[in-house]
Amino acid sequence: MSISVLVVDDSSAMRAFIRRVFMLSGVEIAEYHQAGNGKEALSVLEGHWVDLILTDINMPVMDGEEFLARLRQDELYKDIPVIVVSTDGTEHRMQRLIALGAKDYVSKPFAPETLRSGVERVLGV
Amino acid sequence: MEQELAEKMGPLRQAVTEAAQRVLEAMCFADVTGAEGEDPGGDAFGVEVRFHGSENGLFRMWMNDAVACRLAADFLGLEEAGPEEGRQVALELANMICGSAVSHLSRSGALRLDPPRACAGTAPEGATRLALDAGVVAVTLDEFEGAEKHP
Repeated sequence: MSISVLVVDDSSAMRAFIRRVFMLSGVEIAEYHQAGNGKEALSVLEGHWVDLILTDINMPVMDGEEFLARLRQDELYKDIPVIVVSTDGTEHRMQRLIALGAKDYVSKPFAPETLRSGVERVLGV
Repeated sequence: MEQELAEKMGPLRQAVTEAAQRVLEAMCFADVTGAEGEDPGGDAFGVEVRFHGSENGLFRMWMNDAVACRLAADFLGLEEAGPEEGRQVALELANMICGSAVSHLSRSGALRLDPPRACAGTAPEGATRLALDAGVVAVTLDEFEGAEKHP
């Protein structure tokens, strides 16, 4: 199975780390798209279809909560599974994001296996 | 063991020490060999993250370029990393250590982290100095008294 992924994080280092995790995971990536915030991510989605979105929460311009809310309001994007990858591991935040429609929540720091199993669980692979 | 550490170090210092160990070991595969290392060294630089919400305060971290480059190379899966990559990865590590420490202190509260940024100055005497194979990383976590708290 080959998937297209969009990773949304204002840290270029974290985007590179997640890409590395995918390369090591055995999940075949057909296209790997990146964005530095929710607004950039919406622009990426205008030109590319993706099977999975991984997004941070604390980002400038448009944060992860607003990005998630925008996705869920859009007929075209509302069913794309989203995994939140964030430093904020409080229950308050996790519950809020799951209520907004996130499929899974991975707290940083995480072991590569944790992210891989989250991706596999969400995609059913 | 956890309670013993808390009594010895205080809850804030314990939280940041454990968070730094978790992040450095999980994300950089670093072997933290002790919590009482020496100073990070002459060319050390600092980064800081402010946090707001159910807890309010400031996390700071110091390391030298050699340590930052080693951690960046391990984080990014490279043979070697340059100083710019080292600084970028240091900012992300600070973000993760702060978020992890504060989330453990207040698991049920709302929390917001400002973007990590460079800071001036050197590690104070009371900082926790974590000894790694590549050198030393110093960290502090301070809560602000009287800051606005949200439920």
